[in-house]
Amino acid sequence: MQFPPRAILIWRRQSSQRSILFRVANLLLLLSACKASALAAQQPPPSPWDSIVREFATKIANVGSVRGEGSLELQNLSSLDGSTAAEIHASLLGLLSAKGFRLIPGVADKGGPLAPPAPPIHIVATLSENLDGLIWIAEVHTSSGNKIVMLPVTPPPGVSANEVHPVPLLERTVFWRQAEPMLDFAMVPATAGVAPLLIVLSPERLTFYRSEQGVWHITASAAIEHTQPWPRDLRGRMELDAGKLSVYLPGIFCSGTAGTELGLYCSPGADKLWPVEAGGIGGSTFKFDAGRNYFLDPIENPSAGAARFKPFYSAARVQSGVYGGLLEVVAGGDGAQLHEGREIAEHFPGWGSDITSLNDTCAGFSPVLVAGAGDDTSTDTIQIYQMADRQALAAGQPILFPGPVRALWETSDARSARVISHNLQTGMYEASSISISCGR
Amino acid sequence: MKRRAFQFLVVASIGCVALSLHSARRPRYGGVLHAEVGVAVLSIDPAFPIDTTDQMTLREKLLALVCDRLVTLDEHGRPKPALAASWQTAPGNKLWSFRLRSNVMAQDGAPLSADDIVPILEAANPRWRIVAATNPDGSATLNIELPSPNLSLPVELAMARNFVFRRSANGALVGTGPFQVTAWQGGRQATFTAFDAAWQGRPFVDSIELKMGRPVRDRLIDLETGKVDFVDVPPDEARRAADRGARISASLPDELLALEFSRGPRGAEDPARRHALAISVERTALVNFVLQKQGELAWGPLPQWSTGIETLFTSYPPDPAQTKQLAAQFQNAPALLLGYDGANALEKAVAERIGVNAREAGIRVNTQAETGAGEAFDVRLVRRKMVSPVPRYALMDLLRAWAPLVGGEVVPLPDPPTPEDLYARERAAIENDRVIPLVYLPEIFGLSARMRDWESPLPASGDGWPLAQVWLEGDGP
Repeated sequence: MQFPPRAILIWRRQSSQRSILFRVANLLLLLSACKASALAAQQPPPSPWDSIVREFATKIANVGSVRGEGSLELQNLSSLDGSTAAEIHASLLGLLSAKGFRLIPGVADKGGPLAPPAPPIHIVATLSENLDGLIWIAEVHTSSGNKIVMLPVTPPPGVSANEVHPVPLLERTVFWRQAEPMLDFAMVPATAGVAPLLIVLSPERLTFYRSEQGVWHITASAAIEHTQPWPRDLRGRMELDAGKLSVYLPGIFCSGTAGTELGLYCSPGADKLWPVEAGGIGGSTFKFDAGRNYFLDPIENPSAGAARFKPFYSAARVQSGVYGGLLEVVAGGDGAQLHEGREIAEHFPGWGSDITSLNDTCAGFSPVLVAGAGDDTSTDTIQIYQMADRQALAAGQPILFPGPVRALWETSDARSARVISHNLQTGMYEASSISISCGR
Repeated sequence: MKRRAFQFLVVASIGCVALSLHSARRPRYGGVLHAEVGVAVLSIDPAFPIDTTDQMTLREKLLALVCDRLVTLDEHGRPKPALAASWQTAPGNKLWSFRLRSNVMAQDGAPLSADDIVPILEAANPRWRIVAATNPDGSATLNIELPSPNLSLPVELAMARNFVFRRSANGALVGTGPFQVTAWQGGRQATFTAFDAAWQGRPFVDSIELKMGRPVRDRLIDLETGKVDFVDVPPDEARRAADRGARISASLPDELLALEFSRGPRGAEDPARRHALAISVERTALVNFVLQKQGELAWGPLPQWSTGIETLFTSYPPDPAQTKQLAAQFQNAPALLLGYDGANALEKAVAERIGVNAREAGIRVNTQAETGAGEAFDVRLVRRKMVSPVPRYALMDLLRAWAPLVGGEVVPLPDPPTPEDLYARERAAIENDRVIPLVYLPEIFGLSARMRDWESPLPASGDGWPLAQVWLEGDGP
């Protein structure tokens, strides 16, 4: 029985400090571990990389015989994580072994300097990456010469997707990912005999997807015609109420019915007022500047005098438990301000520009969801704040996003919020729903 | 009481976090962005003659603020629509059609037409035959006929030489880009004002005030004192600037610093001397000490991020014993004369370091600044900027530049090339040591604390500085 050098090292160090019984136990453990790993090597669990590694191993074997003793080094110059690289290494070694390659013990696994004389076969595999994606390279050094193998690699589906794990209190469900930017989305749950419907608002189109047997299919798509250029930091909002669809875009308003492209009609709508968050206690409408990315002072009561709000990005309304009135929070260029009537009651300088309020789902709790500060190049968070006594109290842990939150709108029942975020690791835009769970 | 105390603690902690964070994430409109650069150009017009590659680079950056191309590249180097909304090729890939985006306003208030574009593109590409046509729906198409097949013409159209614009009656350049030139003092300063009707959307900042020809010391002082928002920083100054608290951003490396042996001089024709010099250079020391860790070791012609295969070229780590053994063969030969751009402090420092390495190895090398008076150098230190992030175009450009040194005709690479094709051509270009890649340099910028949403663009993509996308901290949206 030959132990790998690492195992021997561990056993020797322990032998000077432990009892005979303990040594025997250790030895048995090592033996069982070796046996288990040997079994695992014979029957490795299926991996999404299997077919690609097989192709790589075949290409390596095709450039020269790998039959015989040798070493295998693997260097990872790509964005693949260490565990994936190790998995690929093990898989490659297994496949080459099946073609007659016998690893010289103690040389390959560490990738360290080779002890002279050089092994008959020396393979250096590099997991590299270029502008277009992954590329795997193998340098095969044998007595008959040196060969190079290159394999452009398309990662297996789903491998690059970065799932975000929700934390207590806030729960996130991802509904859709796409490479094209998204502005908003709406989900119509399944009803008797009718599959669920997903509507995705992109800068240039509205797309309808229907789920059939768990797979989403495009059922309709409607282009959004606009004669004026979209502003940078384009924003859009979609409301779905009893099958009636309203789409708000800068300077344009579209209406239609969910489920068919034929029912979507768009027209210039620079003066169309956008709904803002109501938190289930009655909302307001605001004018959206058609050439910018912000809302203007509400015009619902022009006779009220000077503007109450500076231009702002988003707003939330909450019920004040102390004063029995409404508190409005608007997020602008330097954090958010809490308005009580015409008075600015408090300033929250650290808040991001996207906020929304939800229904009072937990007793005594007026939740406001607040996206993080930072910019489009950084990761983001959504944090619940409880508004109490003019103060904002962080409640629970924030949800983490691997990129900026691009939109945060409440649903029409104010029980959850729709979030569009941009995953900087994958480059994909993600549509998800955020809801609050009480009692955890 | 206990609950109140808890609330106080939470609110206090929020306050602390708030102080350490910037304010709102969503971009803010307005403000003047102040920029300073070291190079100066007299005009951004491509028809205006240019003296140096640094000036060419700056002109392309400024053109990108004012003008557009038919096609740009995405982050993977694949073409994506810009002024051309779509395109197609006829069988044979010699005839291409580009359907133009409708309703694109130029900065003089009139739409950009296909007829405006034709003479501009033909001037940049004299071998192309371009015809404008009108489609039944009123949109316009440019039909481009090429002298030879080109499967990747859209990639070529994304290169910086293919900015399009209209010439006004007095010959001035009228673009469709996010900014328009509203003041210009050639070689000194310029004002670029946001173009409200830009088809990609108005920039967030109202204007850019640019000063050109500013010494690096002045630029960095102005950055430290908050007088400017954006400066370019030489790689060898970046570390010091960062140590003094400057906000530094580096691109992926896109400029090759290499030694190029001339054809003809006796010293340059000796392959053993070339090889000895090649293996004497301590690239790691160049990057770590001279470049202050701002750069990437270059063993092959292209950077690793572009091809992914440059790791195969790390073939000769410095070997003092082997170098001395080689050098002993020609210890009585005249010294090699190494030329560099004397106006560039970085090149001077690199050249001197190479001279030290060579002398330590027993190779006689004298360094001398080029004066432009036609000195007969054996070897030159040369900077080569990538013309495209796409390896095929970047390598072809290098091969054409090196053809007089390496000899032979430059055979086009297959389109698209396989990794094996690229590797073979790269290796052939450097295997006789007439070209010795040393270091790949990034572009480095100093940014003010109030500048937000800065993201380094894909190098060599022709996109220029992303100043239309950045915004400045301030009051209100």
